[in-house]
Amino acid sequence: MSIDLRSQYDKIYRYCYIRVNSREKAEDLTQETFLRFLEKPQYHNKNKDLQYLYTIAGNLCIDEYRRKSHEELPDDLQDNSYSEDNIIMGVTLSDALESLPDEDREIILLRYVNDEPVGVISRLYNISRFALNRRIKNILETLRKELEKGDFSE
Amino acid sequence: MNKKSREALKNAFNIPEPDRKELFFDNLDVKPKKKLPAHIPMYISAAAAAVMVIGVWGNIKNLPDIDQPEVIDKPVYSKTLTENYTENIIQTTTASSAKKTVVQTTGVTGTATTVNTATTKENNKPPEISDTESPETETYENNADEEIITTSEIKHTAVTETTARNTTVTTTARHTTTTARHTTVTTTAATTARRTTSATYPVTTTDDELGVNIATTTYYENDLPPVQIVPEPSGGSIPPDTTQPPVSAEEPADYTVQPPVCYSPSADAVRIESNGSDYNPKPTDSPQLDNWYDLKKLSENSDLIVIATTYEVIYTGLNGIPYTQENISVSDVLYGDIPNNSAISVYGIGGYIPADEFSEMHIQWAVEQNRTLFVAYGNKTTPEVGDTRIYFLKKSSGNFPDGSYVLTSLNDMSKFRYNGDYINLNDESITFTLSELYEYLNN
Repeated sequence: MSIDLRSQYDKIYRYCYIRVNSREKAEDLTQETFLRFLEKPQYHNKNKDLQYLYTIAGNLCIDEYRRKSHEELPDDLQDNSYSEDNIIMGVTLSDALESLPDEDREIILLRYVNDEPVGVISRLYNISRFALNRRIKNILETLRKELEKGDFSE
Repeated sequence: MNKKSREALKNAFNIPEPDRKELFFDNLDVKPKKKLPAHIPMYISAAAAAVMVIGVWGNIKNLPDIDQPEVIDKPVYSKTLTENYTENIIQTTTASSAKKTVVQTTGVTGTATTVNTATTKENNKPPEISDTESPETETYENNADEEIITTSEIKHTAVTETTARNTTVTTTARHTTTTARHTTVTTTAATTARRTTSATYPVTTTDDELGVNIATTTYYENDLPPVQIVPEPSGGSIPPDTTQPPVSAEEPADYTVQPPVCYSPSADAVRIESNGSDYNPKPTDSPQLDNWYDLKKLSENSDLIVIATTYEVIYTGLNGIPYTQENISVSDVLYGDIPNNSAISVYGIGGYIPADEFSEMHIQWAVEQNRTLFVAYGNKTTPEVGDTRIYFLKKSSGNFPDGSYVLTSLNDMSKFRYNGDYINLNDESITFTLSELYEYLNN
């Protein structure tokens, strides 16, 4: 195993969180991801551990989304869009991110929050590295247009 | 993107921190694999290499000596046998030195290459050399007196060149010795008998015309199957072992074919000397005669070179071209891949043909109809039953029957008769010896 699982926990958790928008569910899915990863020795391929982790997590999130679509919304669902922190750090950026498609938001998260390499993200979304760079550039351009202020540049 | 922007983005996602991370990893029983210290694989590799070296050395040490056959009780026997062989070779050389023969002896036990003169043999007696006193009688008696036990049969291969009248024929014999408290000798001939003789005592036949000793077939009073005896150097032969079942002779194979048509020869046939280029119209498979005066060229273009005897002559034709089909019995295969003693069909251009059929393709030969022609195509002779020749042959193609052969030059330039040297049937200035032919074939 070529990666430190403990250091990847936060990244997988964040990836799950923006997809299920629930801390409890995101953490459950993150732990389930690690358990499945550890159960299968064939996943422990050198230089592909991170990709396997994201793939497992993505599939679990899709399953969760399908299951969730048949359930009622929980009462304690948090609405993070207008939290106090967001107001302090800048509500406009959050709004800009919210305006992005889900996949674009995931890409920005993976690239700039989780700081994942372009190669891992491109394989995860099955696109080329050049296509991913162009897509990130377009996403940033979209965000820049949404923000009159800000310092978004590669 | 700078660190500040990244932090702003992270905050903008507004993702709460996980609170069960430490608990998860505390409960997760994942023990990282411990890497082996670097020196351990090195030690393992070194140990494996040492084992391999020891194993190879042990196998080499236990290999039987290739110079000595495996003997349990009396290992001296193999040495004695070798000495006997060597002695034979040396003494045979002495006997044959007057005829400028050369002796080559290999260093491997049981394998000897000798060149000797061909002489007559008497069977059921120790072999003798006609010119000089033979040491072989004593040699074989000594072998027979040996009492040995061997774990497996000892095989000796002798390659013998027999020279007669400046002509050399190479035959190969496998000499197998199997002993159990007594020595038994069985000889298997590489060449099969061309002629068989039924007699109380073994008889050796020699083809004087070709200067080649023909393998003998021996019959015994106890009705045992015949045993092949290879012509032995200096006229000697190894006595057959009547206590062991003899090796069966090679079955003769019949590869002869049926001719497309048969023409009868006529005493008053009109002889025509065609050169093979007077067709009208020219058939697609017209024969191409060539001046095959070069033995090397003749050898290179042949698929089969045999010494054979004609036992049937059939006059036939293809597309208005007369051919003669000779069915021959092969006694020696000098080059090629057919078994000895085979019977094959050979097509050579020329022969008898009705005039009307011939004139359809050769209008320049205006001959009266209802006559029989004999078209020679440069051939000086006609094949006769009983002729023994060296044939240079190619596998047939085109309209010739499958499985048949054609003379390499189509005409008798591919046939040689023996008269001291081998002489071309069409041009007697073209001669060669078997040694020259072997030199071409080996090159």
